[in-house]
Amino acid sequence: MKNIEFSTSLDFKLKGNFIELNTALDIPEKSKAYLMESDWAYPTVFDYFPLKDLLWLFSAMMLERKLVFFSKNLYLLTASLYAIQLRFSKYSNSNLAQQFHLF
Amino acid sequence: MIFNLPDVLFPLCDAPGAALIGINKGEDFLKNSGLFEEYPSCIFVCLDEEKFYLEKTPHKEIPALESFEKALLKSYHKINSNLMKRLVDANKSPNYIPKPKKIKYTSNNDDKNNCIEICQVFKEKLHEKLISFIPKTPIYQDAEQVSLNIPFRFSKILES
Repeated sequence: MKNIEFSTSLDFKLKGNFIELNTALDIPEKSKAYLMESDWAYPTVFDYFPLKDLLWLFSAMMLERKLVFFSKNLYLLTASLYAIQLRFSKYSNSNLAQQFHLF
Repeated sequence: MIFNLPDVLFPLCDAPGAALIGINKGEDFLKNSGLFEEYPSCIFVCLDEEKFYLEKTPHKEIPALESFEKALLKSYHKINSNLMKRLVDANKSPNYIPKPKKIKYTSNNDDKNNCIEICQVFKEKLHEKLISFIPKTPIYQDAEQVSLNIPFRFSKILES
């Protein structure tokens, strides 16, 4: 398997029944790795959720509540989970890790 | 975090601690399966129906983060100008039918830059309001002292 490194471009092929698509994913530098989803998940989620709702969900996460999302739209479901997890939990954890000089 | 929880693993909703779970079904399924009654500690958010199910008890109120809202409002307004809440409480409005909303599947450079700006403002606010209050070195860093010495632990906590 190809090594994935920061500040590089990851080229890959998507094979469908009728088409074959060559595409690339830009991987930002380490300090901005949390912005990787700004291409697809964040615009969808920020456009869908008003700020009040997003902060309400963040507040619930900070209280360690269990959040269960229902949606028939898999794209919206995945983007919501991705954005909330990265922006709120994992992202804040990575800051904590930096604060504690863990990496 | 579980992106799409299969039916057989629904008891995970009862797991201790925080969890972020996705279920690729609609509100009808939530109503018919009785998940809300079975797992009242969870907050169920139906994205398509724009509703949330939350057990209302005084000690389980979710606080509003007004300082975050003030800081993010300007940059967020560039993407989403809706200032009102979209999600409604299903207990208060069980028959609420949302207006059809187009989901944004594509984005341009402006959207991307706006998202980065929001994330950066959020980062600064999170640092100011939360992370700056956390001690820079772990309180149990001294390896020799890391033991079940309860009075020592309490003294360290009080110091910090």
